[in-house]
Amino acid sequence: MNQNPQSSDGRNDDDSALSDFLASLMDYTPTIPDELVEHYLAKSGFQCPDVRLTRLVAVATQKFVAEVAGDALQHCKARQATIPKDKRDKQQKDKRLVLTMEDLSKALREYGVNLRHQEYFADSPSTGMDPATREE
Amino acid sequence: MALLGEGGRGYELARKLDTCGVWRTWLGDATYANFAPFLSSPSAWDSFITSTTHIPLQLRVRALLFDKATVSLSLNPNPNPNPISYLQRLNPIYLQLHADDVYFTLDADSKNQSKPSSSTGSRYVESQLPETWYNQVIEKYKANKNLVSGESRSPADMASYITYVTNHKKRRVAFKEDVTDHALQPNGGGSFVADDDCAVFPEIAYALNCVPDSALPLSDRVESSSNQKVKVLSVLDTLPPIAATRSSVMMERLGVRPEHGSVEHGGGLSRGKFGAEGNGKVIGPEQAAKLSQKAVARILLGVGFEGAMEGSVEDFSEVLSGRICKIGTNLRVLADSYKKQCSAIELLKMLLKTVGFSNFAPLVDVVKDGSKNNVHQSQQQVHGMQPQLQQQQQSSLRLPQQVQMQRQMHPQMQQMIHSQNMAFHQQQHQQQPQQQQLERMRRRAAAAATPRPAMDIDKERPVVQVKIENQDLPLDGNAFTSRHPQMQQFRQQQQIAAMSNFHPQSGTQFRQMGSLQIPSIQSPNISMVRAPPVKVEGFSELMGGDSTSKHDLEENRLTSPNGK
Repeated sequence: MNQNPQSSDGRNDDDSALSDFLASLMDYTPTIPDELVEHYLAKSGFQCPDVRLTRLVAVATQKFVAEVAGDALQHCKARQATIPKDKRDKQQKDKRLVLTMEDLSKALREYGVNLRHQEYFADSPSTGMDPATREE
Repeated sequence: MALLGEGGRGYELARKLDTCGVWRTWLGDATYANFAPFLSSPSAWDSFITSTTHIPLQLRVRALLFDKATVSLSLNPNPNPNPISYLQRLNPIYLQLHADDVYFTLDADSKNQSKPSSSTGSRYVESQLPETWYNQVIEKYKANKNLVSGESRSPADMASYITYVTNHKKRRVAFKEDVTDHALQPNGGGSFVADDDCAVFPEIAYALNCVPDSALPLSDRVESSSNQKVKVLSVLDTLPPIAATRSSVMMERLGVRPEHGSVEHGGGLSRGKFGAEGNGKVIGPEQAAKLSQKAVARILLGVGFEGAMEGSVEDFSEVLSGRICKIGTNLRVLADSYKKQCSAIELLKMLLKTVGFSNFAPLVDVVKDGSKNNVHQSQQQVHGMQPQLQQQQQSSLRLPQQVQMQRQMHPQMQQMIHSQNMAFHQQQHQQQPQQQQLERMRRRAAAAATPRPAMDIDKERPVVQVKIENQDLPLDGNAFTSRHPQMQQFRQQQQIAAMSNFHPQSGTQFRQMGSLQIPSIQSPNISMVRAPPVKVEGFSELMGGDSTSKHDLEENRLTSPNGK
């Protein structure tokens, strides 16, 4: 008999806390725009006129993307740490934290997303030419 | 049936119908003549009923016989199952023919079956009976002012007839009472009441043995009802989601903020519609991709990245869009599955669990971090301003440099002034006072040099070196003679500078002295201009052994103009 009221009180507290959180979303502007979230929700077959729900989805997505980005940042720092210290020029250049496909791939792998770039990556007209010609 | 006897042949009932004259009316006079012999004995009747040679006549006889016998089915179970008692209780009026009996439909069937046969008897029978019964039906309908629909009844007639039958069913009790009254009063006293109750028998029989002319009307009715049901279902399918959504939205609004909720509810709906239109018009797939890339870039900057490759940003934006679509799909499934069972808050909790958050605490942290990020962005803006401030500082630093330049210029002027003073003092005073003054000048020069920057000090050194070198050259005769013109030019330049700087009066005095004693004055001037103290120092440093002799020579030169 004593436990039931406690559980109901806990549920009520959770509900009220969630309601307060939803109310706070009205004053918070997520990084992901509302229009963008509404577009993709409509694409998946769900349309909701409530802005709070839209922003809730935006915050959840932002949390996920931020976690992936954080892991990628760790991989990036680890990659830079392995660079030999003799190369001063490279050290100066590599001090900047730049997200690469390698970092993103490693980070997403932990979340169950297998991301690989094509083996042959043509990013410039000189790709595929002789190394000597590239150097020239 | 009880009225048909043990064997089911119905001989007794047939004879009773014959006594009432029903067979003659039903079959016609000609056909009745052929049929009458079969009623003479039970054996003849059995042979007639079971024979296969008189099928048309047999069918017609069976139709009437069985129709009348079916009344026993509606009777209450009687402890005395003797059929004779039932036959005795039957009302003779019931055994009479009625225009609204159900066997009218069976007559049509018998006609259809008899057409293929080529016997003239059957044709004769068909030709007589339809006319008789048709005339009777027409007369009945005209008398009752009912609608006539030809040989067959229309659905409207059937419907009205069913209503009529239903009404007559309610008179079953009266039928029993009437039977009792008839038994008690066999005379024609109750004929009127009996006539009214006679109509009940065929209605009851009809209700039990009704076969419609065509199944289409009833099927049409069934189809129409089914269509209505389908429509009702479609209407119900559309109503609950709207009602549920509104109720859930209202609960959510009222639970959080009633006033704001009501406003938000209205705004939400309108915005939803507008948003849908906006999505259709404003945001397209390309714009969505660009916006997602921008969002990814912002998040990366927030996390700490300074840059990103193009391909990684594109893939990351696809991951973002896929994530939103997944959440939307989950929302759709949850809303469709539990919209009637769970409230909006519960649906959101389920959504958070499916997304991967056990509770919404991480999201609260994101919101707080987001607010901090906003502050950080403002700080970044301030930091962006700092370079401009630094530039301003640099511009302000330039001013001191200009001041330093001015200071650099000032010492040069001081040097010129000092050199002029040295020349002037040398001319006016003796050797010792001159030496003392030279020492003072050195001290002043040293004091002036200390606050100067290193660059200035470096600049002075070459000048000193140049002086030393120039002063050392005259000691050698060959060198002196070879560079004499250059030295003269140097002396003239110094004189010109001194004359320009001195006061006009002193200048005139200097010129007068020069004009009077040009040769003597020129030689001491040269020696005086050479700056003996510096020379002495240089000389002593270079050649320590000959210092005494050279010093004497210099003394002689200095003393000679004084002696003159």
